Amino acid sequence: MNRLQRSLFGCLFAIAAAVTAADERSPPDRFGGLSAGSATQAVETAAVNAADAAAKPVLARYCLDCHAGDAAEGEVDLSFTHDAATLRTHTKLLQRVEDMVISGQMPPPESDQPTDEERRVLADWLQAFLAAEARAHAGDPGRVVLRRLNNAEYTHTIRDLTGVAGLDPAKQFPADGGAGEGFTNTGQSLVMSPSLATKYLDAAKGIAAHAVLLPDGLRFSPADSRRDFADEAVVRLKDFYARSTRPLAVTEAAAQQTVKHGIILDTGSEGFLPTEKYLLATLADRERLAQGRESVAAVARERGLSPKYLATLFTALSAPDSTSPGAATADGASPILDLLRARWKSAQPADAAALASFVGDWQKAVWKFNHAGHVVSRFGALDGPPSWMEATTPLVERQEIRLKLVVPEGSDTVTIHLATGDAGDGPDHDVVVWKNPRLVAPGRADLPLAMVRPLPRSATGPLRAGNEPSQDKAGPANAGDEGGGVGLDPTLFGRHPQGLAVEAGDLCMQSPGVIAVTIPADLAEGAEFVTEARLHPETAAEASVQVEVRADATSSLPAGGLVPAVPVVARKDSTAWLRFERAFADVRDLFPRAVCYGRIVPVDEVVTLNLYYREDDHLRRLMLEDDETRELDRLWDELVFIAQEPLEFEDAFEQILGYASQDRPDLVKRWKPLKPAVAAAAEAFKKRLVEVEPRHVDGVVALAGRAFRRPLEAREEARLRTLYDTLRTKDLPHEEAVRTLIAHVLVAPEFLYKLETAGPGTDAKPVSDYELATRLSYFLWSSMPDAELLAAAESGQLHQPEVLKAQVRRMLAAPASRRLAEEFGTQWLHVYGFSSLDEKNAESFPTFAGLRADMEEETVLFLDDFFRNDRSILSLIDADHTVLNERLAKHYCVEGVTGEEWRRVDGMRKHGRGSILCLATTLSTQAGASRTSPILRGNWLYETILGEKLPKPPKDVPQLAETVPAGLSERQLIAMHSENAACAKCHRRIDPFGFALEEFDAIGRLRTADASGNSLDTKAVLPDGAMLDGQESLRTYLLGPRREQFVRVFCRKLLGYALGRGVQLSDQPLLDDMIARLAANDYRVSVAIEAIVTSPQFLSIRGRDVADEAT
Amino acid sequence: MKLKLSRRRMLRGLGVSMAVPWMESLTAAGEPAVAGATAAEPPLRLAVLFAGNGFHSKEWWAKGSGREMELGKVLEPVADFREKLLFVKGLYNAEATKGNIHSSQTGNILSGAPLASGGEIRSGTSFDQHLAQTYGRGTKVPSLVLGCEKSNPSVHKNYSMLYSSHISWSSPTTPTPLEIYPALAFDRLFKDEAHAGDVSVLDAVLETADDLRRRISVADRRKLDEYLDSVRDVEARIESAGKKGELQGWRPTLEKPDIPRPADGIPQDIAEHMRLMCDILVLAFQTDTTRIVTLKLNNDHSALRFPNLPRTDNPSQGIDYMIHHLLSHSDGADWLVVNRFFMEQMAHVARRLDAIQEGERTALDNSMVLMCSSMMAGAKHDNDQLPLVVLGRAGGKIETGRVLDYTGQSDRQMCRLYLSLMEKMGVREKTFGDATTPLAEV
Repeated sequence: MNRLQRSLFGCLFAIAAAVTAADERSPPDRFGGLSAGSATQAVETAAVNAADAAAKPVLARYCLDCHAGDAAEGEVDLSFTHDAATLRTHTKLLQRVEDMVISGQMPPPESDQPTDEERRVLADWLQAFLAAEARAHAGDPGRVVLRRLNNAEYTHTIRDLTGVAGLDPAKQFPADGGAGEGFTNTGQSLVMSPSLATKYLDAAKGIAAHAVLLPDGLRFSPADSRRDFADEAVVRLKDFYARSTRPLAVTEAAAQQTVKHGIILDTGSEGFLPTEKYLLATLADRERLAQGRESVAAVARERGLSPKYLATLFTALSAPDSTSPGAATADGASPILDLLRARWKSAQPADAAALASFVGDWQKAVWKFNHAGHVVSRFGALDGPPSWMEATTPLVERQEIRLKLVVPEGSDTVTIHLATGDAGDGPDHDVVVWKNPRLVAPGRADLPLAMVRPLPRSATGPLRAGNEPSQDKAGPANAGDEGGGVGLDPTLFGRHPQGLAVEAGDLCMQSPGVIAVTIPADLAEGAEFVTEARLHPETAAEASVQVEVRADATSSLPAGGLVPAVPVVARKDSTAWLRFERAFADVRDLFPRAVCYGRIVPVDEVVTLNLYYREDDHLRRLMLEDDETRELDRLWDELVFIAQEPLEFEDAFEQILGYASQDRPDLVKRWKPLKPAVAAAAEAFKKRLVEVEPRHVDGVVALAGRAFRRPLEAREEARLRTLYDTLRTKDLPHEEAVRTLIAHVLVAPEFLYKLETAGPGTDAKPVSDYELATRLSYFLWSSMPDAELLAAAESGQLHQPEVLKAQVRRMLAAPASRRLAEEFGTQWLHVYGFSSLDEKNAESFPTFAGLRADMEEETVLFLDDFFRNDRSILSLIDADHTVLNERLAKHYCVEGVTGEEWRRVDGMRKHGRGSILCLATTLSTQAGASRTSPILRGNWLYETILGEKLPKPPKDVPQLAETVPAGLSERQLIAMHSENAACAKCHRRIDPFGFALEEFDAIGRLRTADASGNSLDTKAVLPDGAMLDGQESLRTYLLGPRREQFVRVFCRKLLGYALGRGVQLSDQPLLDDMIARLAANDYRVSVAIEAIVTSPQFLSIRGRDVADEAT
Repeated sequence: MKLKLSRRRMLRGLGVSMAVPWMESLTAAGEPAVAGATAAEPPLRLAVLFAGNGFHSKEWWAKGSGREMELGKVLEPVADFREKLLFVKGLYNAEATKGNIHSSQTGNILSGAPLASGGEIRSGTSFDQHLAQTYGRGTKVPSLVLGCEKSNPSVHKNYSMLYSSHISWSSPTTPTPLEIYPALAFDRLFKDEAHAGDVSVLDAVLETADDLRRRISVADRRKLDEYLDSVRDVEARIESAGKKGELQGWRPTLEKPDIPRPADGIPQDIAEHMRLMCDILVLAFQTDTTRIVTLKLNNDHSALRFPNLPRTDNPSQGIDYMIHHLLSHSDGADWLVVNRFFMEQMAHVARRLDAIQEGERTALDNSMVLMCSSMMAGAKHDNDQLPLVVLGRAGGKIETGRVLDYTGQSDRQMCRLYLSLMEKMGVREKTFGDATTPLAEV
């Protein structure tokens, strides 16, 4: 038994010192239903009795001389051993006696020594007695002192309760202490005082300030002001919108801006239809989309698109020509979509951008933007733009044209081109009349184009009007003088292509066509070309054309095409007119340029009548399913509610009026009538505020249920509601009362303490499923149970082993299980809070301070990986991997790890890594400020990892110099110290471990020489004869002869952490069982965790009336 | 009563509040002065300073008396006050010699109580906290428990390191949490934390108490009561905010803080940290916000380094190594420098208090400022006798300028001194810790 190897040193004084009155009290006898069966007990009792008879004389002869009566040595009085009954109340002391006898520390050397046989008899008796005692009380839940949430648990719980990860309410709380097995989750160490209670109250009020009151309840925010809450609500909406839209590119956005009075007025660059993404989907996934609805949904999901709109678009694009997606036009044609369809049918995915550009040009033609801040539609009939994005129909009966004439440098003429196109529907009926084309210049009489004639070469002086007609009878398209002649053939004017009458100055032509006119520079100088294009009333009643006049020859109007840049000219209410009206509407229906006002807060005008502006009808119509629309409505309502928009607007409105009255009395006059409506909206909102007040109280009640980690009892709920009422009667406004109520919940003992209901009497009873959920979640997550765990508790099934184990597996896989590594792991290894460790000499180790956080993270991630991936407990010693980022890899001289992010790196043993023995944290903590300390490291291994106990060091120990005297190696210095006979007893136990780790410097780097440059000596021999040499030999030793002990100590620590108390004698059978199960299951840590959570210790609580051992 | 409420509200409205220790207007308004409160007498104050790990074994001594008193090098920083100094030699806590080194030498230094091991936490109520619960009830803040080093969360050699980190204990199972943030210590004295709903919130907590107590175990009730009592205490403090002055009858020399609220966080520089805490101690006395302050300069088994102090062998470098082991165990020249640094904190407190005139005496005369440690010399871990020096005359009740030596006597319990000091403050106990009689000489 390993115990034989334990504690071979010490002296009687050490027992006396360590054993206080409290230690001598054993746990109470009765733990109904949980102790071992009575038959087994009888057998054991018999065995103990037999051993008893043999051992008592030995005890009397060798021990009681000194250890009896009032003058007992070291205040250890063993006279109770005479009596079988009192024996059982001194188990803790007997454990000490056992250690002393087995290790041979007692009797002291100067006294009579028992024979080996006598010693064995005594040891057998003690072991048998204690083992029987352990079994008799096995499963005793033990005395678990009522536990407050410690700082880490409190912080995690507040974060999980509020959903706000950034809250750090315990930042300035006093540090927690450790107790029990050395963890900060032990009741004894979790103290309270008025000053701490004040901190909890202040923290609670601070947290309550983060509550956001919503129309239907509460939520918490990282911020704590209404302004920030409203901004968050805006962000939520923006995020919602952004899922379905795209922002404009920078250049597009710039084009959206206008500048007025030097102020950039931005009509918004968010909320635009991501046409290209959708077109790409229709092209790339054409085949799948053709298969039907399910595929549409699948494609949309893959591409993050709206299934609804993708389906609509695909249907529209894949429809046969001339089928409008909306109601059919009079003649069934939809000229623009037809153009798109034609292109789409032959397009490849690579053409998506070109198609989008085609659509974009049309979108620009059929939509225009206004300033959202000016939209006053919410007030009904009032002058102003009807919406941010407004439909336009580029369809006219007559198109006025004005073109400023610019004479090219070095030329004496300028040529303009009068072009007509057929609007894409063929030239039938397309007769265009250019009414009264003329040159207009200030200070001159208008000069009809018909009067512009070439000057005879002989002519001098000013231009002569009314010169002779040209002899050239060529058609208008070829009119003009190629040889530099100017003007047009006068006969072209006042003449219809089919010979009908036309007014004299007008130019009438068949479309499509271009008339080029050259104008002499002196006529063009400072002049505009002005005309108006119309259709010929008689012959072109059903026509549709596009016209333009340009200075260059390249017309945008292709023969037989329709372009978006210029309006279509048609006769009102003609078939062509209606067809184009429909065509534009089709484009607008399918391709709104923007689907929503993504900016939400108008910033496009100095004065805005909208604090928040909503315009998302196209989004809802085209893209959102009903539930999404409801969500959007809810988000908007939240924003309005949080911002108290109607109240804010009432204020803002007054200010606007006041502001505008300075220079825009007209606006004041226009807007004043709105006042009653604004006031009425504010009034209605106030009423609503009152109406929803109970929802917030309900919200706190619900919060309390979660905070208390169980359903509230009716009277607890009633108490909360009464408190709210009380606060209101004390003149607290609603919102403040709600926050105060939240603060109350957060200082309630039901929240701050893990209260558990004990059963009556002294019998242990199972804890409730809710209490079990709390035990479980604070064990694995250091925080409150989540909804799923609470649901398992509510179902009443949680205590069933299979349900419990399933929850454990789920919880270990969840991100929150990292806290098991953070809290249990680092405390077990004594590196808790390492990132603020401030014990290193900055001159010797300048890099240390900057690496502390990385070092801690490695340890946490290494342990997190261990728990999360259910690794072997042995791997803690002999793993070949660790977790690194670049900084730490550099510290360890490991190549090939670049960047900030952490990753598992294998093959680490050759770098001396991959074990808790070789972590920068453990190696640095157990070292001096400027040199290593084999003693500290050895002691850590001996006590922390192997759970051994050293006796108290002798007084007057000579101390070591901080700096090694010249001529000595660090090891020699230590050896010198340890040679002292008084010291050697302990040091030969611990130093060898430390020597084996001498290959690491004081901040955990591998080294080949000590700080003074002396070569290293990592060889050492343990008292049991084991030879050590370097950390590899330690791995072999710990997992060889010390394997069971290492595992036992780990289990003991984990058990103590899980239970929140020190491990006691009656826990030994559970530990034995855990070790047996681990050995049979590859030492997977989940086996240990499952054994713990399904143990009676974990599942039950001592009776209410068990006397407190601590009295 | 209405008048009082509105005054509190008014103070709150000003955004700054503090204990307003006397209210002529109220007394004038008809509230009788409390019987026994004599307005003329300045109150007695107690400050306990603690530095862990003992002192230099050769340089902690005093001999002679009065102006002629000679002091070891560690004590030189307080040499100016030798006539107001009491050097006490030879006292010890028997219980503190029984357990391990460090932790079990510290957790009971002010109580003399036995300490529980094995992961349990149990000591005894310390004498400063006993005073806080009696004498301290008269001030806005019963006592201030300050520290300059975080407490240590682990268990060491079977004893919780809470013992190494806490010298003040509110109850045998409750080490009083330390305030290590200067700003929060300042707030505790001067910030009016009362808020319209606070009392209701706390009332409601107490209302549930009976329900809760019924369902939990007898043992847990004690732990829950620790919280409920704290809540009651906070509530009482809020309710009586500003009311204390009229009970005290003493007009402090300073009405409101004359130093700004310290910056948030912990100062990087340990010297600045300690100095701030000392200033807050003085301020607390001067404004009569509290009369009992415990200031733990560092933990026993401390992890502090002193890069701010020059190394004796190389003044260009700081004493940048851990106080525990490598420094305190050495008895070297650097250790002496660090010891004197601690004593300078005490000297600073004394100097500041001595500059405050309170009638014929100074505030130092009306105080008792102790410096103690967990062991005599860090190099030996010995606590067979403890280092102790007192500055201040307890309002003339202590005859100072003396060396008292109890070495070799049988009744040399440290708790006898505590009985004496408590008696000076009017708190007469028959027994305290392991002592039954005060020290006649003190």
